[in-house]
Amino acid sequence: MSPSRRRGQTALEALFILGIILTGVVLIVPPYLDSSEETSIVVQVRNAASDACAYLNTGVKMDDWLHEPLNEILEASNYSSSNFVLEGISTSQSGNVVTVRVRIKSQKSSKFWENSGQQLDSIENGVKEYIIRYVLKANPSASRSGNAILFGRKRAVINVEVSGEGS
Amino acid sequence: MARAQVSIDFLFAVVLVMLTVLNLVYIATGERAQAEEFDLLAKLKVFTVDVRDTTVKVYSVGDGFRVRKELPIELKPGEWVVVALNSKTDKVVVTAKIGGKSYKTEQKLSVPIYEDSSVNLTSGNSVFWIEAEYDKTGGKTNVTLSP
Repeated sequence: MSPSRRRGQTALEALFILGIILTGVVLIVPPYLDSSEETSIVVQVRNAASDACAYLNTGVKMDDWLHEPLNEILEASNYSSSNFVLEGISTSQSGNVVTVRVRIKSQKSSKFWENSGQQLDSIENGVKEYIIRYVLKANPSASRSGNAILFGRKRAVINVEVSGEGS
Repeated sequence: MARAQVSIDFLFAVVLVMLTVLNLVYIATGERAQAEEFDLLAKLKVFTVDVRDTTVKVYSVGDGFRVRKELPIELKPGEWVVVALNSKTDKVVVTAKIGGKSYKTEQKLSVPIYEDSSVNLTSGNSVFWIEAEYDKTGGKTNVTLSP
């Protein structure tokens, strides 16, 4: 077959190959996206948690929707550094629910926090609320249901544990 | 394959490269915005601590001592920073409105403040003085902020 006759024509075999490539894409992409979604949730929660620690340690209050849950903690610590450290993050997955556990430690004693009127429980709630808002802001497609974040079919539950020095 | 023609594999490759580049740009802009925000928080904090330390120094030196302070942040029109000394709580309070967001931070002073005073810093007016004055009738040193 001379080149002049083939021009402007799609060969049948090219369509076949294209079909095979597209089928491959359709088969491979969804599971890949699935696992990458979980990783991205964990990465975002981690970023949010370390951001919360940095914000609390800096001790400058910002009046906006995102930082509002942390501001009470900031006021309780007199705008001084509370030395919050992100100790670790662990995840577990069962079905469509991803549970992320965040452990944060304050170098101030739990007595200090009790005296300041902010129990460790309310710090946990504040940080949790901040993480949820942070993730929601970063993912316009995600929505919220109670204390969980919905990513399409996936459900992310965030647990925050805060411990003080000597507790 | 004919020469000087765009092949479908090449188009695929271009699309994949573009996707990667776009994602990288998106991540980079997000990180940059966050870094800038944190930079501002840190600057405000350092400034507040600086004002606190200078106030203590001015109080210790005593009557007639003045120190010139300048805000380390470049303000745009419409943005402001208010530095205040609170006599009730003995604190330096810095409130700011920068880039449409409000900021507030405090520092506890280790010296007493007898008189409330504050300065309003705006763009083109970011200098103020911290000065000490001995009050003979009260027998105490007043530290005040003045533009």
